Amino acid sequence: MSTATERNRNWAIWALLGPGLVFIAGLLLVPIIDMTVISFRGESFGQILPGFTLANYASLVRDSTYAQIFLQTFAAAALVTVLCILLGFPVASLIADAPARWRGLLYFLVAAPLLVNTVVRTYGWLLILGRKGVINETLTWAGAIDQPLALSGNYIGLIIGGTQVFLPFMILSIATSLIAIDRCLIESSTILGAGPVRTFLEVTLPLAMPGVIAGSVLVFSLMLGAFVTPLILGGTAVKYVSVAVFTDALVLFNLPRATALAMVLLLAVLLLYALQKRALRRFEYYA
Amino acid sequence: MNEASTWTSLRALAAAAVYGFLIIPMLVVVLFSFSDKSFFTFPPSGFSLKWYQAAWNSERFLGPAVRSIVLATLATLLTVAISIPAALALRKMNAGRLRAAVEFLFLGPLIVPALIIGIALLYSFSKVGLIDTFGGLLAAHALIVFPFVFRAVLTSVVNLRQHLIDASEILGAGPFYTFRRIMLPSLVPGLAAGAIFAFIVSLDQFTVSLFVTQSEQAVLPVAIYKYLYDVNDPVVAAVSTVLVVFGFAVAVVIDRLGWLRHLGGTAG
Repeated sequence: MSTATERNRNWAIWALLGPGLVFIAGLLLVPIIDMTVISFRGESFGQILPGFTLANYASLVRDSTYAQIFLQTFAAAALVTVLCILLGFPVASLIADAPARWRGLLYFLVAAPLLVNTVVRTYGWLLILGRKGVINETLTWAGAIDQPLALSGNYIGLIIGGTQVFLPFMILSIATSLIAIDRCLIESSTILGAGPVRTFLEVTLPLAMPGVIAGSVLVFSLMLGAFVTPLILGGTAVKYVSVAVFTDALVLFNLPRATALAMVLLLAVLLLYALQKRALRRFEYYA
Repeated sequence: MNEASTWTSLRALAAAAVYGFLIIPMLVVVLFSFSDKSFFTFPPSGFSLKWYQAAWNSERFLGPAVRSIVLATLATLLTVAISIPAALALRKMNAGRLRAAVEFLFLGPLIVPALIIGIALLYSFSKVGLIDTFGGLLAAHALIVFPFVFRAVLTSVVNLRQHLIDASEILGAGPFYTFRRIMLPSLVPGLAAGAIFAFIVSLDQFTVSLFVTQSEQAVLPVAIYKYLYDVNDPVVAAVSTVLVVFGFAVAVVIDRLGWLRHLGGTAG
């Protein structure tokens, strides 16, 4: 039953939503639909051909370099995620236990790097890891090495840089879960005779899982789509999906193949997002 | 030492190392910018400000820096203008699938990786001649920062007190008067938080900028990257130091306002 006021209300809602919907449709939905269409088109000398073809996706499957690119990208994202959990947990736990007047400063030092330009932070790693970087020069000076170590322009640089860039997200996410834990549970566990290790494994860790999961999915998907770090620290030696998309699109002018690659990446990220929503709902249900 | 205090000191040690890991790349950039040589030496020697002077005199940074600031400001204002009505509309909608779908759509630019937005816009913009134009760049940045403003405004809109709005309407105020005098003042903190995040995200945005511009409309991060690629001397470190100081200054402001904790969702 739709009364006049209700019709008015609906009109008002759609009128208010209008600009936002047009904005998102024009700049996000239509371009992504266009991109999907292009990924099913042929290409010749930088020109997009009419018609429908599965050749771009077929070449992703057939050409073993692409399998390698995807495998290495996923492996790098997984490794960065695990490193973020391992490095992030002690910091998050310190923040959660810190007295209020220290907590602010500890939070600040984690969050402030997020406000510094990613290109700048990655450049810092280039200065540290490069052939003539801080580590190589220091080790040479100390007489520990004769030849500079290859720390950038490869996977080592990519993993170290990626971990530093995305670590704050993991710390903030785990800290949020840890702060929410009722102190009484930890005390009960101790009073009942559990040592700190057992308390950690059986009380703290399970209750921190929502933060770990949310942080992991965030870091994993950010690293999957990361572009700045692979481009600057990985160099051409590293096979990374984002760099391959960039090379195909802007260096080789093969837009159909670049979009096909991008579509696979987009599907992976959307799938992860859906999985995260489900996983977090389950945990909220238990909690 | 008992088991618990060993555990605590181990944790403090590990955390200190991780803090070092987070801060060190920025520290190295700052130190390198004051070096008097164009390459890194150990032990470090000499102090000079010549790279700052070179950066100021170089034609490659000032223009892109001004463009980045104007761009971030306009993109933020544009998204504020779109976000307020959108958030007010969502408040009036009944919870359900439709509302969830609209919300998902509005947060879309945050979920889709910047790389994919970049390549999608590259094709769409080239069809309508927006590649390497300021208009195209502004549209792209507005899209990227929209979810940050929208989410912040939505949170404040949801917390609006309905009885104040009702009271205003019962006392005879028109919808615009109610908006300006009752709703807008309670939206200001959320708006300010969203706007600051949007500004920072726009300033940081490298990927999409690289895809939708060529040489005419270079923004600061792209200019830094290109210089790094072509020349790579401490001029980059000098420009980067300015950005490190700016980032920390903004962090102090956000911290004072008590919003630092909400940064967790600022997916770059």
